[in-house]
Formats: sequence, C-alpha cells, structure tokens
Amino acid sequence: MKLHHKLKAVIRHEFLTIVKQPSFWISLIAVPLITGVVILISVLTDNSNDTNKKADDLSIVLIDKSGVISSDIAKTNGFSVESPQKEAKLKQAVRTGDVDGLVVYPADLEKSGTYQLFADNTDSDNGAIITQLGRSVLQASILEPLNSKSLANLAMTGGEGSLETFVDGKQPRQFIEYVVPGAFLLLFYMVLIFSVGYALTSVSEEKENRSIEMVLSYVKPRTLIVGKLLAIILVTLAQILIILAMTGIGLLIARAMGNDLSLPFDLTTLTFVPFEVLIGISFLVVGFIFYVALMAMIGAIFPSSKEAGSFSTVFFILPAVPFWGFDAITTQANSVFTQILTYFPLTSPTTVLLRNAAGNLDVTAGLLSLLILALTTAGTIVLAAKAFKLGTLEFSERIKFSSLLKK
Amino acid sequence: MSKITPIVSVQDFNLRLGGKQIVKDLAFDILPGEIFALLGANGSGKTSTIRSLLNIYQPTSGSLLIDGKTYSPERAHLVGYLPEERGLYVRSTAIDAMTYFGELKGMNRADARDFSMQYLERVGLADKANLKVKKLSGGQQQKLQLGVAIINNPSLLILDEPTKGLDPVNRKLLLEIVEEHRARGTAVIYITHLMEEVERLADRILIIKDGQRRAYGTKDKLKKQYKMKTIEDIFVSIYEKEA
Repeated sequence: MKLHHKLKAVIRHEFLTIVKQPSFWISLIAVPLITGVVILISVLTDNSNDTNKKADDLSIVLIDKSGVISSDIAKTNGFSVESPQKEAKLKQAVRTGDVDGLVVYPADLEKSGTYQLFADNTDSDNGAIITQLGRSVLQASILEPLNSKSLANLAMTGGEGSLETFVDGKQPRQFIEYVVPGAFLLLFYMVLIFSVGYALTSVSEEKENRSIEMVLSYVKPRTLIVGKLLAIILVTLAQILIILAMTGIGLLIARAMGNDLSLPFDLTTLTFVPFEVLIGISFLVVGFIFYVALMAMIGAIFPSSKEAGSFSTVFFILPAVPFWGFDAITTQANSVFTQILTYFPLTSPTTVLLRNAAGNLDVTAGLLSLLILALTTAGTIVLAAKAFKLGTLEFSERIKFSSLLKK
Repeated sequence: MSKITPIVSVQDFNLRLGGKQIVKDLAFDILPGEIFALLGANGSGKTSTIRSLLNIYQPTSGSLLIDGKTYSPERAHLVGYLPEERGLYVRSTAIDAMTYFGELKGMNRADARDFSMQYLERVGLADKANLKVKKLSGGQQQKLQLGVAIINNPSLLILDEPTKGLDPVNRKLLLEIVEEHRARGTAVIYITHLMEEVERLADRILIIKDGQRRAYGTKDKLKKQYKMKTIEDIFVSIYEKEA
C-alpha cells in the first residue's frame, strides 16, 4: 500500500519535472513545427502547376528556320510565329523586356539537335517555362505525322512499365508490407532520441544536486527506478499524442489552404503479420526499458550530468550503427556483421526491427535475440539499482564498474 | 517506575568499508524527546554511523535499531533526515519539493501540501512557495531543507549540521523549531561542529574518534568526568590527547 503510494508520488514528480521544462516543449514542438513550415513554404512556392496558366500570360515568340515545327501546334502552345528576318529585333525585345521569350529553331535542327531560347527573367523564371514549351512544341511537331494524339502522347511520355522482380526465386516485399513493422522501428528510434535521455538527466541531476541520499532514505532504489521508468513511459505517450495532434492540425490547415496531403498508401491495405507485430512490440518495449535502465545506471555512476552526458553519447551511436549497415543487414541476413548486430543488446533493437521490416528475420533469431535483450535488461536494472545505492555515497568520484558487480 | 524504550538502539556496531575499519564496537541509545549530540572531527565516523542506522551502509556486525527494528524505507514516516550532503530538486518549486518529500514519507498529497504551506509561513517563505528552489538564497534553501526533514512530524530527526551557512536570525529560528520538536517528544540526533549549539541544545552527547566511542553521557556527567567547564574543552582534550 505504502509502496504503491510512493510509486505514484515518484511517477507524478518525475512526470511533472520533465513536462514543466521549457526544453521538453522546445524539442517536442520544434521538429514537427520546422517540418511543417518547410512543407508549407514548399507548397506555397510550388509553381509547377502554374506553368500553363502563366504561359498564357506571356508574350512568347517562335522562329522556325528548320521547317520541322507546326505553326498550329506552336500557336496552340501560346507562341506567336515570326519570320527569321525579325530574329535580331526580337532578341533585342527580349533584352528590353518587351517580349518575355523567344525560341529559334535553326535550319540544321535535325542534324545538330540544338536550338536557341531567350527569356526575360526579370520578374519570374520565364526561362523554365519557355524551355518546357520549346521542347513540347518540338516533340509534338515531330510526332504530328502519326496523326494520333494518344500515340503521340505515348511516345512523349514513354509509357509506364510494370516491373516484377525476383530474388532467390521469391518476390521481394511490396511497399505496403514494410509499413507496419517499419512503424515499430520508427517509433523505437523516436523514443530513443526523445525520451530515453530523460532517465539520464533525472538520475544525474538527482545526484548532482545532492538530493539522492535524502530520497533513498525514504524510497527503495527499485521503487525510484520503476517510478522514473513509468514516468518516462507516460512522457513518451504524451509526446506521441502531442505529435499526432500537431500532425492532425497541420493536415487540417493544409486542407483548409486547398492542399490535399494524403498518405502514400491506403490504410485498409496494411498487412499485420502476427510474428512481425509480436517482435515489433516486444523489442519496442524491452528495448525502451533496457535503454532507460542503462541511462539511469550511467546517471548514477558519474558525479555530474555533464560527465554522464558525454559518456552516454556512445550508447546513442550504437543503435544507429544498423542504419549505416542498412544494405548488409537487409540483404545478407547470415553475414557475421548482421549476426553480431542482431544479438548484441546495444544494437539488437534497431537491427532486429530493421530486419523485421525487411522481412529477413526468422523466428529463432528473433526470439533468441529477444531473450538475450530481456536478460541483459534485467541485469541492467539490478546494476542500476545498485549504482543508485552506491551513488548516494560518492558525489565527487565516478563509481567503479567493478564495485557494481561485487556482492 | 517503567523504563523508557529508546527510539534508537545501537549495539556492538562495527563497520568496515574498502578494507578500512570505519566504526569499532560502537554502542549508544537515544531516548524519545532528547537531543543527542553526535560529535567528532571530520572523518571520525559520524556520517557512516548515520548511514548505517538508515541502512544505506550494511554494518559489518552489530545491530542498529530504530523503534526496535532495522530501518527500511517502508518506515520512512519515523525519520526525518537532513544529510551532510544535502540538496533539493532545484527545478521544482519550494512547495512542490516539500510536498514530494511529505508523500515519500507516507503523507497524502493534500496533507503534505498543507503541512508545507504552514511551515513555509512559519519560516517566512510563504511568498516564495511557488518560486523554483534554484531561485532561493542559500539560507532560504537551508530552511526548506529543514522543512523537508520535519515534514510528517517524525519520531526521530537526524540533523547533520543544520545551521551551516545560516545568518544569526535564521539560526535562532531553526534552533527554536528543533526545540519545539524535542518538546513534542521527537528524538533528535544533532551533528555539529558548533559547541555553543551543543551547550544550548544537547541533553546527551556522544563523542567519537576513529570510529570509537570516547565520551558518552549528559553534559553535566561529562563535565564532571573530565573536570572541565565546557564541552568544547572536552572535545579538544579528546582529540589532542592522541594527536
């Protein structure tokens, strides 16, 4: 009863301490906000859909010395067609801004394959529009003798091929099959980056500000660690909810502005393979607990948050290693490199989740790696609790790792 | 006449840390409602004794009992501890920091908050209740520390140099609070290097040197035994004797 009461007090204290920090909100809001602003700017400044509309507003001229260009097609695309005698005058008109653009197809167009374009870019990028129009008119004129719009269109676009590949006799995964197991990997990495560090800060600050001896007079180390862990889980859930809420608001704003930002896949076609989901949830949860316990232990070992922070960097680099070896891990499941990363606890969560998404993780490897990770996590929690206890006694020196292993 | 049961009972206490004998054959009792001065030079074993009493250190041998049992955090309601290495959650507000420790000592949140507010009013910090601890002066933090120790009115207060760094006005206030708790029946283990505080407050004294008991008893008994007028003289004579 008392323990339950104390655990609740620790959870509340830890949770509020974290969420009341300005840095929590800055890191939480900054990333999605910057992403949103970048998307918004790119949407607002995207002129690609305006090309045709703008072409109608431009005064653009075409001179054809080759005889290849169809006047009708040129006129349909907004060009006025002039004789070669006016070339010099029209070039000067482009310079002075009286004409927005000029395209000159030379007599040896067929042989040289080149033509000249001139554009007044004073107010906007007319050059890009004229380049696109010049190419379209040329292609359409060459294909005009086909006397078929659909064939001409096919020739111009090259059509759309449907590729079917095989690796070792099997079809590789479709994009949709990556989504569910891939989401666990993404979620684990987000949790690692955003939340796990709080365990380090929480413990090392407790030690640095000398409150740990007093706290441990009233609470068992295990209660304190479990309380911190649960508080960080709550913080993580709060972060996910806030990010989802901000994403929703962003989508609503985008829709209100006339931009329909939709997912690149249909949610109803998602596939849920039981083994993949089980591995995803297990490694997400156990991996998270392992890293929190590890950070708590490092926080308790070092005398200051600065030293603890520096030392912990390596433990944030190791989970990223599988991403550097992405190709090897996703294509060579039996290589020594992949095997080591699969079973080494500091790299196993990201490696296994990556292999789980790539579809090259077999049941034995997945469960064995999970067992190793779970045992390491249990050991780390015991060591973290011991480091807590020893940490109350040593404020100026680092606790020796060997002393954690002594009975 | 019935014998008063000690709140603290230490018998045959030995402690070895890192191959070094820190405390040797120490024994003492502390009665409810007394201020017990635990004296000794730096490194004499005072803090180790307190840590062992609170089960932070495991004694090599002997028994250290609080209210008849070995201490564990489940019995946190019995004890208020102001350690030598002290500090508070600097990013919490004064009221939140105090309330949190009240909860850890078994109080419900509302009661802990009420107690904290009353205490902050008593020590002139009511207007600072919602300020972060790091914004408080050293003296204000010191008063808050004492509040954290006395919250939940424990049966045993362990105060390690509680007046260190306080100005005379706040020191007087703090000593009054300690005396109030004694009057209420709280036993106080008082660790200090300030002998005038010992003369004013202590009912009984234990002087340790090299982890061993060198003097133990009431002030008058020790003064008669050593034929000296002050506790400071006794302390100096013990430490100079073998220097």
